[in-house]
Amino acid sequence: MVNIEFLSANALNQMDAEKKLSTIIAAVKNNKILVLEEGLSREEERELFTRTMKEINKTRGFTGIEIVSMGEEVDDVRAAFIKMLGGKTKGFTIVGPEKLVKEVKRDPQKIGFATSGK
Amino acid sequence: MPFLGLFNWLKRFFSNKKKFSLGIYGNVNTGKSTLANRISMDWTGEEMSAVSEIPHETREVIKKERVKLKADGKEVTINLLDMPGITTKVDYREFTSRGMTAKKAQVRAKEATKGVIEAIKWLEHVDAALVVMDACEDPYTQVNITILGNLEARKIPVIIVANKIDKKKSKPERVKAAFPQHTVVPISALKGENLNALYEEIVKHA
Repeated sequence: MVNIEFLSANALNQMDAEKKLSTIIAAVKNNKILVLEEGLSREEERELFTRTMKEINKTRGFTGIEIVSMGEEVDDVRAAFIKMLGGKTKGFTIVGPEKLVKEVKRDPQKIGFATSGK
Repeated sequence: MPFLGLFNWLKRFFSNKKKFSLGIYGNVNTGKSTLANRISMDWTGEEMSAVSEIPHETREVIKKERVKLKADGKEVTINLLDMPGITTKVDYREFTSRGMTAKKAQVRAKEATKGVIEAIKWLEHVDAALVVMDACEDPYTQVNITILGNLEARKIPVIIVANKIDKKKSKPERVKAAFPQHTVVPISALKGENLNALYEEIVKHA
């Protein structure tokens, strides 16, 4: 059985970066695939890579994550204006345990996340 | 000649300040160390990194200081940094499947995770980066996107190296199509193909 959890942009906005990353790592370690309505920033992705490496070292049997993001983070005036009006400017991110995710395919238009059913 | 001594000291001091560090980044097994060795051999006559088919051969940042590189009538001095491959997964069983003992494989996996962390830390300290991609593989990976995104955010100049063009199934044009905003130089680090084009780009960015 594949367990998929969806985290809304609203829920993500109430978390600081630390909480967001701990939530992701905890879910992935519990064999869940997480869909984040609002994608991670470049820095958050980078920090997630680092946290994943530390977690591999700490937790027996944990071998890492598969992650794919879609939609660029834009930091311009237009994006700031859209945000001010409550709009969404970031894409979305899918994260899952490396053991479970067999294949990730992406192109600028679509992404595929195939599980192995382990 | 106290003035000459002072002059030499000042020269050394300012030349140290002007050190330009060039980081070689990329996913695991894209040929980063082969490229580092090629650059180092071409300009210093010495190799700098061990190379292996087994992933994560480079597990710590390897430095070669004061490499003098010439192209287009210009000379630059760089500190070359061969980074461990960046990844989101490390499984020691990958190494045991290649004949390593479990104990050795576990040590290698531990060192590999630390190497990835070190490479990520260096992202904010390099002056320019060569992001090496295997031209036979899909370039549009999250690791590549995250490395490029972080370098772009810090306005660090990037040259994408589409490596392994000596292989029949290589498609450097796919790398160019995936990242049209960056300079892409197709090369074969192993065979030394098109390295002059890369040196010209490095000199331009230094």
